[in-house]
Amino acid sequence: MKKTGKKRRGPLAREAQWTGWLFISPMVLGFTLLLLFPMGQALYMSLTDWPLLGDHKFIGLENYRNIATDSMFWKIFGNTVYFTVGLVPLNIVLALLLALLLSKSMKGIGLFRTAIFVPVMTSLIVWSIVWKYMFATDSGLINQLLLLLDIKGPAWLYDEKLAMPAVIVTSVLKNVGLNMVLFIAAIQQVPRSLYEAAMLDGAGKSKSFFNVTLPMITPTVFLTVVMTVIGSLKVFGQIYVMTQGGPSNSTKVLVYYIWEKAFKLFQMGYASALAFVLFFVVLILTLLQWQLRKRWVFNESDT
Amino acid sequence: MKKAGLALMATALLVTAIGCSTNSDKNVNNAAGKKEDVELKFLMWGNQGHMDVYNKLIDGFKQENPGIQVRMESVPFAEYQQKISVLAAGKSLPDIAWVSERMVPQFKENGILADVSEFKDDADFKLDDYIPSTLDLFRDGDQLLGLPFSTPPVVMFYNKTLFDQAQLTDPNTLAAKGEWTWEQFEQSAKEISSSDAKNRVYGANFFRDWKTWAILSSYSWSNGSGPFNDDMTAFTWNDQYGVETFELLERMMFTELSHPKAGEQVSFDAGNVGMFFDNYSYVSKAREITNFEWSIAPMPSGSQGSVPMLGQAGYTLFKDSEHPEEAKKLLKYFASQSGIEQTSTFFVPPRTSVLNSDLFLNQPNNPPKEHIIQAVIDEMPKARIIPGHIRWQDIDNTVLQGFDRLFGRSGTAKDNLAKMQTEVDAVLK
Repeated sequence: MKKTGKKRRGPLAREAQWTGWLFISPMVLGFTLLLLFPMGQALYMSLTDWPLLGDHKFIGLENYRNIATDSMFWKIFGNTVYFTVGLVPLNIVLALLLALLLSKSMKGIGLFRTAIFVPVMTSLIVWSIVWKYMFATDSGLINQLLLLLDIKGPAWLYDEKLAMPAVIVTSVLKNVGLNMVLFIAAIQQVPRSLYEAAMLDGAGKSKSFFNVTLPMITPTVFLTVVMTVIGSLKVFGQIYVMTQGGPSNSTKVLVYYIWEKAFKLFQMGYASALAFVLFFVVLILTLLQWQLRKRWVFNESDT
Repeated sequence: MKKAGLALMATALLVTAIGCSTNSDKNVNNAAGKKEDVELKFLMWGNQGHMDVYNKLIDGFKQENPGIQVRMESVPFAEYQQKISVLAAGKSLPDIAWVSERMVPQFKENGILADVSEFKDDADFKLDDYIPSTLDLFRDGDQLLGLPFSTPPVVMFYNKTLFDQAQLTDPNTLAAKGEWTWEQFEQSAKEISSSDAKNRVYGANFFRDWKTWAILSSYSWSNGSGPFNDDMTAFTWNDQYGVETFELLERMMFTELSHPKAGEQVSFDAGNVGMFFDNYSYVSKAREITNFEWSIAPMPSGSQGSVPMLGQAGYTLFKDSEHPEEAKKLLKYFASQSGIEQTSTFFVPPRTSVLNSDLFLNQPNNPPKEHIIQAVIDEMPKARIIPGHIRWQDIDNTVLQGFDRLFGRSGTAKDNLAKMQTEVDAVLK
């Protein structure tokens, strides 16, 4: 029975295999041509001295060695970590708070949800330009409002200590809506019976949040944390528009540095090496989060 | 059933593939049909006003040269050098393009510019009409790698209405008497300013896009020093005059409140800036001002008189061009006497014959003729160019960081310039 089964499945499987390949060929072709091939090319470039124009030569791991000793790289790496560490908790906590507020079904609640989600759909460049105007020192909205309270506002985007927090706040407000929507969906899926049970056991509002809601939505928390971390390591647009990495490099982050090396200073090899460093940082962080998730993510269907 | 599905899908794919190839066939046919027409690509960073002038020029050229089309494309100045470099790497350079003096060293080094020294032998073209110093930028040994069309000195645009309201003598009169000094400039700026939030008026603005720090070199130059030495091997701004420059700006920004703070979006044509420094070419925008009176004046002077910064822009052809002969024809047309006459509506012409003509001076809505003579023509012999450098982008970045420190008020001008010197010298070496 088994033998014949195998024999009969053989040719069928082969045919099914072809159909399968045919079905996924657009995706596979796109992936190979547009992702795998350029990535391989970039890996090779990262091992060369590659000016935009003129001859390139193979220099092995020298670019990577130079990165390790490039004091600018370490400052920028620090800035990237600062941005991520500043943005991720703020974004997640704010999104969760908003989700708790807005997950209840009340009259007109859709209006508030929309208001917070609209920035997500706005163009990042437009959003950043508007905020750049709002942060302007003399004529900016924020300092004008502070002036009404008789406070002389600082030069937000031109102060080495304030520029990064300003960019972080701008980015959080831009993207918090997306995480909020994910949290709302997760919160609404928590079975009501669990809350009833918790209430019968005498749990208050905060207890039922920490012992029912939070554990039940950990898969969503995990997803949003991973996505937000990756997103914030790759930040570029708002930095480019609002500060151009200034003042004194205090907001220069990795992707901006890669762009600057590649398209302003035309050191393609070095820029590719930097891109691979970023790639490995993201990879390691994601693997680490994936491993650690077993300790704190509950309610996941086994895979 | 499965086989049928497979066949269906294969057919679908095949049809798509055929569809694609038919399309590309059509394109080839189209191209072949118009083969006698050559299309030249012309890249520039001009605004609409500039493009209008060039459209007229191009129409004239097409009438003389049937069968040659010209496609003009404008790219913002801030991205221009990058764009050309990337196009060069992609082997899709235009046939003819504007370049500014900052870009030439890099393009020379890249070896992408085409030689046009044969223009010397063309008697009709009259290359000797060009002011010789304006060709220096484009010389490379025996080769001539381009032709200038604009050699604008930085001039001071001022809002006459604001000067009158503050009952101040205008800078032209003061300059004629030799009294238009940096001290006088700072004083005038202070008196014009109003820090009333609703009706904010700034006395002066040195910056266009917060990047044009080079204009401030004038202070040191007018006192016999400068930001760099002549052969561009050392940063020399870290001296008495550099410190004075930085302190001047700091005072105006933070004490006297007569200069906008970094990041403010103010523009001269809005009418709330007393004095604004820019290339003469800015007249193209200033001519559209209707709500106040304005004119141009020379830079304020120091112990050695006034020294404006000179900018330069020119046309270049590229070695890779598919139509080198046609491109040369177009260049000859643009850079001929009549071509330069037409572009002199906006640009300070490098040809002596045009520079001294009434055509250049008497454009509609121009400032008074005497002011142009005083601020442009008489100042040009004194004007200076910051020497080019192959790593200009690095130098520019480093200097801008120094200005960031000034804008953020971290540290004294002295410490700031000392830090800049260490960093810029590291790039120059």
